[in-house]
Amino acid sequence: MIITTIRHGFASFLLLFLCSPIAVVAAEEIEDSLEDVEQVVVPEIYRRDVKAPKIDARDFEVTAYVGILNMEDFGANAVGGLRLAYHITEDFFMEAGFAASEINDDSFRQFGLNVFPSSQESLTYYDLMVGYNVLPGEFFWGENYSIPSALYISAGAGSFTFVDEDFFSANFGFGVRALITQAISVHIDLRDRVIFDSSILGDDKITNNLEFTIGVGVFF
Amino acid sequence: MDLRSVVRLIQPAIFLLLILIFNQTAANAAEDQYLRVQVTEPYLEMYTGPGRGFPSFYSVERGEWVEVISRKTDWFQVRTRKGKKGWVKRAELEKARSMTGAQLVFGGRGDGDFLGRRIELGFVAGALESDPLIGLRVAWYLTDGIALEGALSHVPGEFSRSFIYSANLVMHPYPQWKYSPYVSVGAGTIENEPKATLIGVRDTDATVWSAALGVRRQITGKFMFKLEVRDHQALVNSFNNQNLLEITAGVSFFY
Repeated sequence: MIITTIRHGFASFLLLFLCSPIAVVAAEEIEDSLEDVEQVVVPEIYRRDVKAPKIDARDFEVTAYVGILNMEDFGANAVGGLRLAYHITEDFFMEAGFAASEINDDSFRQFGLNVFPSSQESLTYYDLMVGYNVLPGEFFWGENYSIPSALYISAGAGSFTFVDEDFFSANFGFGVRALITQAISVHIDLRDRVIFDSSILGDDKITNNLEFTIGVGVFF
Repeated sequence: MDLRSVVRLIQPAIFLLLILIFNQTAANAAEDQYLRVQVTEPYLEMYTGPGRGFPSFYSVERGEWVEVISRKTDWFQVRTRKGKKGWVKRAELEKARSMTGAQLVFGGRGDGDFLGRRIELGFVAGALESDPLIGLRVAWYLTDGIALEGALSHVPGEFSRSFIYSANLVMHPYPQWKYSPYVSVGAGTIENEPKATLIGVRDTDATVWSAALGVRRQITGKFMFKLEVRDHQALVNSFNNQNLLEITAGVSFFY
């Protein structure tokens, strides 16, 4: 390929080189003859590269969600949070979330053991996730309405903070997104936030912390 | 946690959502001038939704004009003169012609939309020595090969929590390669806060210098995957340097 290109390039260069005296002579002759004729219409051509105007893109999505977070060994509590997602392609999105909930050691206190300073402690977490729309499609509402939807899987990492300690978590989940209007979405999410070395009860252990949430999002 | 505290918690979120919804409706009401393009191919297929799974329901014929209303990833919502609305693929729409007769290009410069972009946002996860690490990365490309990167990392360690803030210079000598290798140097600070249960240790802040090697691979469009090994030198005190090895995997996208 490259060799052919070089060969062609060389050939045309050679041709140009050989013909150039003839070309110069010919051009001079034409120029001389043209000098007497005045051009009637001088075309004014403006060529410009027009960049398409910015089109209202709705690839960001903010979602507020509520649900239940079940921290292994430490009860299930209401959780509320906020997610910001960017839809990179029709398949992939990335999102960052932050939420607050609580954690309690009631089941230990029944036996006279206090794991936390008080029975109910506040908890926050954040996560950074990547999502993939596995099953995009539509929901049908009666005969006349279709609601664009997607079943997605997501994975990522995050961190819990409670009782002034941070715990790394690896997150896996799936969810359903339905677009009620072009800008408003409804989400149902199920996530497992796995803590690998939860040393709260002494020995390190892996805990699965399941979260079920419902959210409303806005694309902007 | 009772319902009232949950409501209090997500109050700002609800407020933000309402503002956004209001903005959307206001924008819709404005109905300003849309970009108009003429179909030059034999036909332009319109789909019911912004994704390849949606059925195509209408074909716009050659010569017809359509208005481009909005965009979702690589799909554009268009409206025909008769008021029919549907979604078309970017690649298809780019074959149409604007009123000035110019070729339409949406988004970045060629190369599969990958090179020629300026801002990159990403997440990373990995390990700093034996502790886990989670991070946010924002990079600004001066050229395809040189970028300034801001990095924020959180290390929720077993005995302490640390944050690393750093500014890095990243160089891709061969940005066009499928697996583009890069080198990076950076400077910043590390803040280390021991867990409250540990006695007799205190917070340490230190300046860190770092050097890194990494590789980037485009997944699709402007979405990419990265692997990086970074060596931090923490200047703990005037006698002591601490060597911290960071290994991360990350995903990011060009904005």
